[in-house]
Amino acid sequence: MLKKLVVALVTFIILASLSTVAFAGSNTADPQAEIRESIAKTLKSGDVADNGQFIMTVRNPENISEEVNTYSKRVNIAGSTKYSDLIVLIAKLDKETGTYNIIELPDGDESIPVLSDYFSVELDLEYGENNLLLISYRQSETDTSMIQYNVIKINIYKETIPQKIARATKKFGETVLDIFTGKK
Amino acid sequence: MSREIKERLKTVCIYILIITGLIQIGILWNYENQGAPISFFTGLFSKDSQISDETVSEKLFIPYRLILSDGEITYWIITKNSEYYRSFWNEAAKGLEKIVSGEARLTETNEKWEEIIDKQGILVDFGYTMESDLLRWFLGTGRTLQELPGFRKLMIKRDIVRSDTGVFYICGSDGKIYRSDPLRYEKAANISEISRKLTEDQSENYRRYFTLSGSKINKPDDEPDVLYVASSPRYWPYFRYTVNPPLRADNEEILAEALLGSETGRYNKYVYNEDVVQYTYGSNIYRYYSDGYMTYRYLGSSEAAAGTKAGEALVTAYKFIARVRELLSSDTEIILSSVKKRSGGAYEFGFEYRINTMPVKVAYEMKDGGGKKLGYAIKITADSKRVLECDWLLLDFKQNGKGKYNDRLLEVIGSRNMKFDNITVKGIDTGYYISNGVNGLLEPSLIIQTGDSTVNLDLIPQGGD
Repeated sequence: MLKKLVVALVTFIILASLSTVAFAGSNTADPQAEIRESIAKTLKSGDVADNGQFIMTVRNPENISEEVNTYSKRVNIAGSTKYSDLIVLIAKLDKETGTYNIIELPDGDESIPVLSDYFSVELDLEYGENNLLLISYRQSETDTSMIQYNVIKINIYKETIPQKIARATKKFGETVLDIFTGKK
Repeated sequence: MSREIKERLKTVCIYILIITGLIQIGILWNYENQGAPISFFTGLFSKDSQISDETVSEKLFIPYRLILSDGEITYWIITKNSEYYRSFWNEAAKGLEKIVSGEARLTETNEKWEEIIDKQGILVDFGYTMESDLLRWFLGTGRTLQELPGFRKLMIKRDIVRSDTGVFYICGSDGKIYRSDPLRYEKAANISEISRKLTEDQSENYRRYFTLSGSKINKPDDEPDVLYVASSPRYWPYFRYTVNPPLRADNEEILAEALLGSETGRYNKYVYNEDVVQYTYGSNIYRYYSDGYMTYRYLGSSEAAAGTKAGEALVTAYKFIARVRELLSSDTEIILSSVKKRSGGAYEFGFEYRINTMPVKVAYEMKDGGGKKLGYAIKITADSKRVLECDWLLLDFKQNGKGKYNDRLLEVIGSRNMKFDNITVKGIDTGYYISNGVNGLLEPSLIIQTGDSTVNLDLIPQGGD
C-alpha cells in the first residue's frame, strides 16, 4: 500500500513539474512568431505587392520600380534605415514552384542585421530573370502590417563582343546627343 | 748690436704668437670638435652625392593607390606585388607624359567624377595634390604651353572598342574635371580579361571593393570614389606585426653615423635622462628619443630662394631620408604622401610607411610640447639647399603571424555601435594605425579620414564577433 502511495506521489510530482515547464515555455514564446508566420505565408504564396519604403530605403538598385538590367552576375543591394533593430531578408522567386525562397547569402547568413543604419550586400545571381523580394522588419515589432516588402526584378545578360560594341556605340550616341541638346 | 737685439725680440714674439695660437686651437678643439678638416673630401664620396634626380623620381613617383574598375560594380586595388601593376602604372605615366608635354590636349568636361569612375578603367590616386611643377619634374619634361591643374586622382577610361586606347580624366583640385584626347598605349593590358581573371581569383590576393557612390550610400559630404568592402568572404587574411624602435639605433656609432653622416666627428653629444640623445653642431640639432622619435632642427637663417622647385626640395629631403633610413629594416617602404608649399620657398613633405603594400598611418604626439600630432611617419621641411626640420617616428616592423579579420565597413562600424550617417567619409584605408597607445603589436584596422580627423576602427578578428 505504501509502495502504491509512493508511486502515486512520484507520478504526481513528475506530472506537476512537467506542466510547470510547459507554463514556463508559454511565457517565453517567440514575440515575433506572428511576424515570422506572416513572412512564411507570403513567401509560400509567391504573390506579394511592393508596399513602399517606410522602415528601410532601398538605395541600390536606385529605382526598383523599374527592371534592373546588368551584365554582371554580382549584384550589390544596399539600403538604409533610421532604426537600429532592423532585419533584412532577401528572397528569390522560384518560377517552377511559384514560391519565394530565402536566399542564403554568400557567407551562409540568412538575414542581415542592420547595425550601422546602412547595409550593403553582394549577391551572386544567375543569368536571366531574377525576381527578388526584400523583406524588412524591426526586431521590436509585432504588428504584421509593419513588414516592408520590396520587389526587385534584375535581368542579367550574357554580353557578347558585338553587344559590347553596340552598347558602347549607343552610349557614344547618347553622349553626342547630350552635347547637342545642351545636357552636357 | 741693436739690430741683433731687435731680431731676438722678433723671434721671441713669433714664439709667443705660435704658442698662443696653438693654445687657442687647443681650446677651440676642446670646445667644438669638428673632426679632421677633410669633410669636403669625404663629401665627394658620400652616399648623398650618389642620389640623382632620376633615382628620387623613380622611388617617389608612384601612386598611393592603383585601382582597377571592371565597369560594373567591382574594384580591385592593384598593389606593387601584383603582376598587373607595372603595366597599369606605365600606361598612366606615359599618358601623363603626353599630357604634360602638350602632345595630348586636355579640355574641361561637364562629366561627373562619380559617373566616370563607374566605367571600366584604371583609377590612379596619388594620395596628395600633384601640382604641375612637381609632375613635370618627376617626368623630366620642360615647361609647356598647356596649363595643367593640380590633381590627386585620375582615371584612364578604356575605349571599349580599341583595347589599347584610353581617355585620361583628371579630377582637378579646382573642382573641375578635365579629359584628354584618346591616348594610345601599345602595351596596354587587356582590362576585360584581367577583370575576368580577378573575378574568378580564389587566391585571396585580390579583395573586391565597391565605391560609396556605386552603392548609392554616399552622403552629401562623402567622397564618392571611396572604396569599401561588402563582399565575401566576410573574413580576409591580414598580417599582424610587432613594432619597435629600430634595433640598430641601440648602437651609438650606427645611430650617430645614420643621423650625422660624414660629419659625425663635428658633433657634440649629450644624453638627457637616459632617454634622449642630442647631437649639436653649429645651428644643427638632432635628438633621438628612446621610443624611436627623431627630430632635426636647423636653427640658422634659411636663405631659400622663392623660386625653389618642389622637385629640388624633394631631392634634398630624400637624401636626408635615405641616410637616416639606414637605421630601419630594409623591407619597410617609405612613400611620399603629402606635399605642401611653405613660405620662403621651402616645402613640407609627409612620408608614410608601407609594410607588405599595406599603409601605416601615424598619429603620434610630437615632442615639441605643443600637443600637436605627427600625422605622417616623416614630416620634413626642406628647400633646394638643406633640410630645415624633420620629425620622424623611426620604427621597425616584424611579421607576427597572420589572422582572418572582418573588414566590411558597415559591419565594423555597426560592431562599435556607431552610425554610418554620423561619419563623413573622405577616404578609407585598410592598414595599420600607430598612436602613442600602441603596445607593440599592430593589428589591421579601417582608418577613415573624415576631413579634419581620423577614425580608427580595428578589424574584427574571426571568432571575435
